[in-house]
Formats: sequence, C-alpha cells, structure tokens
Amino acid sequence: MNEAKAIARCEEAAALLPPRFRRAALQMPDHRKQRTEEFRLRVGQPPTALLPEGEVSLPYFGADSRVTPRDLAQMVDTVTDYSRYACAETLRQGFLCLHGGFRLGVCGTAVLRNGAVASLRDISSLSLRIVTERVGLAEPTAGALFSGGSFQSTLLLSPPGGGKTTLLRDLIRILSLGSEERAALRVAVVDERGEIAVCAGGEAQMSLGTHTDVLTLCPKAQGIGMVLRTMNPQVIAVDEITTAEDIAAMAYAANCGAALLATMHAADLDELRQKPLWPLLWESCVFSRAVIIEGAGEERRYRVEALTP
Amino acid sequence: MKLLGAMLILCGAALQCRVLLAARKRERDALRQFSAALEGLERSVRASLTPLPRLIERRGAGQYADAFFSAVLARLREGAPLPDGWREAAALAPLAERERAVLSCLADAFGGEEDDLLRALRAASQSLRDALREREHDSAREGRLVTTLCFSLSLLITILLI
Repeated sequence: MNEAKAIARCEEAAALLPPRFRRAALQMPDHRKQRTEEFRLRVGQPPTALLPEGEVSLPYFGADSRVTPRDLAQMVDTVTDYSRYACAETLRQGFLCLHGGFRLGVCGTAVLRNGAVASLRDISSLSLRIVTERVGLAEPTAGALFSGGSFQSTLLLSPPGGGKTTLLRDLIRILSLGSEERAALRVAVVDERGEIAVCAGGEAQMSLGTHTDVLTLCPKAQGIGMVLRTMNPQVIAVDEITTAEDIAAMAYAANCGAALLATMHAADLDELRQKPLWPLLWESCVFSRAVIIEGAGEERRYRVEALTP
Repeated sequence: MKLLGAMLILCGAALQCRVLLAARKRERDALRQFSAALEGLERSVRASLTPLPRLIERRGAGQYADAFFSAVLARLREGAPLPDGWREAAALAPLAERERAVLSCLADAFGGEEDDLLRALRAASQSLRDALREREHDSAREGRLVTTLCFSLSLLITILLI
C-alpha cells in the first residue's frame, strides 16, 4: 500500500472516532498516520494509535484527554447508525464490521442469557482496526501453490499478527480472478469472524475477486458443509483453524474434491508439529503445501514448503 | 344591504367552522399516520433487523409521516446524529404539544438494546393511538359545539343588524 493511500485510510478511520478525538487523530504527523494499525480507546485513559512499535497517545489539546463511557457509547451508536440491534450478532461476539473495511473490537460487560453471551453493555474499550489490503502481495507466491495446473490445498503459517489474513485475502483474490495461465476458480470464503471480507451490509469491503462467495459469521465446521452443498466451490478458504471439528469439516470438503486454503498460528513447520491439532491435521491429509511467513512489516518473506510429518 | 351583510356573516361563520374542523381532522390524520408508522417501524425492526435510517427511507405512511421522515433524513444527510434530527423534526410535526413530546422522547431509545427500542416504539405508538381515540371521541361533540356556537353567534349578529 503506498504512503498516500495509507494516510488516507488512517484519516478515514479517524473520521469514525468520537468528534473530540477526531481532530487529535488527524493532527498526527503523516509518518505516524501511514503506520497506524489501530486506534484504541479505553475508559479513563487517553486514546492511542497502535503503530508497529507500540501504542502512542494521540496529540489531544482539550481540557480532559481521557476517554469517557459516553465517548464509547456515542462511537458505537454512530457506527451502527443508532441501530445496535442490526449488528447484535457480531456485537455479542465483541466486534463490528464497518463500511470502508474497518473493524471495531468491543469490550464491556457481557450480558448472559441461558449461559451464552447475549450482548455487551457498559462498553469499556474499543479498538478500531484499519484492515489492510495489499493487492498483489501474494502474486510471487501463488504460482508455487499449483501443481499440474491444479491448486494445492495450502496452510498459511505465522505467529499472531504476522500477516496471515492479509496474505489469505490476496490469495483468494488471485485464485478468484484467475490469470492468463490459470483459469479463475470459484472460491467460497467461510468468514467466521468477519475478518477476511469485512462484510458490511452484505457487501465485502475487501477485494476478493469476481468469483468469490462469502459466508459470514458462520462457524467454520458448519459453514464448510453449507458452502459445499450450496455453492459448489473449487476452493474453500477459512481463517484460523482452531478445533478438531474444523479439520473434520475440511477433510470432508477435500474428499468432495474442493481444495482448501486456511491459516493457522505457528511460526514454522516445527512449531506446527508441536500443536495438539497436528496429528489430526496430518492424518486428514488435507494440506499438501504450507506458506511460512517470516519477518515483519515490509521485510516479510513468504516461503513455500511441502507439508510433511 | 343589511341582508347582504347578514349573508356575509353567515358565510364567514361557516368558513370558520370548516377551518376549525379541518384543523381537528388534520391532527387526527397525523396521529393515525404517526401511530401506524411507529407500529410499522417496530414490526420491521423485529422482523428484519434493518438499521433505522434504512427503515426511515421507506415511504407510504401518509403525507404527514412521510414529511416527518423526510425531515429526519435531510438532517441525517447534513451529518446530524439520528436522535438530533428526529427531535428537530418532531418539534415541527403537525401534532399537539403532548404528542410531539412523545414522538421526540423516542429518540432517547435509539442506540439502545433491541428490546428497549421495541418497547419504546410500542409505547409511543400506543400513546398516539390513545390520543387519537380521545380526539375521535371528542370530535363529534366538538363538531356540534363549534357549529352551534358559530351559527348562534352569527345569527345573533344578523338579528342585531336586521
């Protein structure tokens, strides 16, 4: 993403902040704006911007720079068009997908009904994430994920915050668009946490190609079966494999002829093999390639390896 | 000449009656439309979970309710928060002071939980329906009273003139 675009994205995100902090965010120097990943607001604390090196306070010149509960309630009301009920399903899971491809993390007091979280009240923290989209990021890697013209099921690996979802998003776009050498593939995305497509009002806010179907906020294990039955996908993409049910659903999809594209927390193959899910993953024989993301920021490198025990 | 004057007074009285009764009718129509519109909003929120600004964009609740929602939308487009736009439009609604307050107070429920909003919409709609029933009950009696008063007064003036 070029500098001007990164600054513009940061300013777009700043426009969603409560009015009294909006100006503070816009007054940040450009070199900070272009590296801002999130804005964070916590009750009783000054608002901050999250940069790769850590959080910095916003340059606020008003009487009281501390965030109040009213600021947070006002921000949630504004971004939900004063219609929290319309976003109740994601809000109870602690996030909101916003127009423009932003994601608002919400913390507060959970309201429990029958043992399940029904909603959040008394909001105490908000984290406005500027979801990054790096179109073309996966171009050099994509070719190595094909064998005999077929896409090979691939697992993307990195530690948390390593850029797995950003890479996944661009791979989905590349597979879905196709190229002169490769035909476009029908990709179904099961976006359980709304992080891949960032759908707002039913519309994906990220570019995922022209042959992509997105199932949002559905648990992966159920969603994989659903898209398989309804959308006849050639590739199914999911974020963050975390349970045995996820792997079982992916194995079922692989047996039905769909290729899989997924992410998992692991710094490398050695760490992956230490994971409790590894035996299941290996036995299922779903994935034959792994992309290991190394380094950070602009220095990231993508290494493709065959997946062996 | 006196007869012509008397005729004019009678016509004036008839006109005045008509104006007063039309104002009452307008208020009843507005109450009917607003209570139906709020009921519709409640139904839509419950059934489709559509955000309020999109629900307000829908028309067909009648001229008074449509004009109210248009005013709210115009303020939204100017960047005003929904509760502010709603309160400003409510202040101009063709309703009595008490019913305007009912409509205006609804803005306090925006942004709250679904149950609170539904409850507020139901309560406001019910309150407007009650007001309408009251007005309808009064309207026949008021109509007769206004007509009798206007014509008695005009007849009195006419007799005095003749």
